Amino acid sequence: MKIYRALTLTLTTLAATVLSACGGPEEHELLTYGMGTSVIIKVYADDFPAADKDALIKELRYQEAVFKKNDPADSTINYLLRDALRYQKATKGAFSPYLGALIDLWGFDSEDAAVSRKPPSDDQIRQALTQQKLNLYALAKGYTVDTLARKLERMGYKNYIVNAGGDLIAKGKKGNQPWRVDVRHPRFVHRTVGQLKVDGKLAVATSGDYQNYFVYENEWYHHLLDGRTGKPARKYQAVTVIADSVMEADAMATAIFVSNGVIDLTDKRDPAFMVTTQDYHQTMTPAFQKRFISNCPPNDPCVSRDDYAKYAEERDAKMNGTNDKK
Amino acid sequence: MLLGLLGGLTAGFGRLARGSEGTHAEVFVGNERVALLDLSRPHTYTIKGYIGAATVVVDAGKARVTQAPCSGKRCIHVGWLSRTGDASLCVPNRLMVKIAGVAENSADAIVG
Repeated sequence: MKIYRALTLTLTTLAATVLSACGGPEEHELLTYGMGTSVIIKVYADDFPAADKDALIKELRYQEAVFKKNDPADSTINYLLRDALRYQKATKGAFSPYLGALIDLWGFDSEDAAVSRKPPSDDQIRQALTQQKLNLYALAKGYTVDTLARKLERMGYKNYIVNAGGDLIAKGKKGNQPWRVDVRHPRFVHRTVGQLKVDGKLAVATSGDYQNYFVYENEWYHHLLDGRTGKPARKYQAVTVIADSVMEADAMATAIFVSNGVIDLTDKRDPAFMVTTQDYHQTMTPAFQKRFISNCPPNDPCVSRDDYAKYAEERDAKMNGTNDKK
Repeated sequence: MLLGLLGGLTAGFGRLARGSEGTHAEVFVGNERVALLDLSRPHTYTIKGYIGAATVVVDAGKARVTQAPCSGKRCIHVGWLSRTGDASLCVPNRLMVKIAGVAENSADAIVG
């Protein structure tokens, strides 16, 4: 068996060397930052020249500028706003593109978003809800990922992944293998709950209460605000949606999350989404299930609250141990 | 000691794949990979990001950020990274530590 393994390894190495010498396709990566998160672009191609990378970064910066300016007269802003208003109607106001003042009040767009602080008062929240300040970030990141994917297509790339902090599109394959896209556990940073099948193309986004939050007096305050109450929605840990575009997945994930699942999706033919509730109960639609390979037994999110408490305790002990050494 | 190559601060996060055990940690600042740390060689590194220096400790096959100029310190709280795909990110500092290795079964991307 050892000889077989050694031979296999040698042949694999040889094959890789030959392919490389012939300039065969391989994986290339671009890491950059934008829309408040990391943006990782992977292509499987013969080459990924610097000029293409520069053009993609330029496109990313352009989109950032559009969303920073937030001009309702801009065609992109207008397009996103129309979609956002559909979700506002479908969720009876839980999802709203006009929560800019509220998000500013909570401080979730600030660089200090994670810093512990006293949450705003009910009066302050009521006041902010009366203001109609546009904020389209629930769709903007997904839209930007779609835009980068279109640019890759125009450049001639057929096999790629664009991943902006978990808002992701994957297309094609990595050589003979499919791209492998895992779904992380909303509470265990170091665990995944399963894998998504790319099947040619996958556009997916997750809204989670762990993505942008602060803790104050042991209470967890996250950025997914219900537009009716002005406060974080409390039913779910995470909502993951697969859709035709990442923008659609992004918007729908947020809308399902902030409405606590009370949403009219009758205009969606076969919605594909998975939700994990605060009590660790994981459910998914049949369309999502078709594309999901779970790490867990059916209807079992793999872990319980007790598991999580134990995990957190071990993690903290390790961290304290490290601090002691220093 | 690897001294700072660029600059930065934080609101980071960490995430991880169900990959196999990694062999090294890649450190990125901005678009550039500024360091490749061998996980089998315990050491403490200082890496300069966009807004300040971060400390990355390598010990017994794993790595973690122990100090960063980030307000939320999430890139620190994510703890030890050891499997391929594990990462700690500090956006304001534009600094990412990512575990890599010879792993056939590791994820190409993580969502969530």
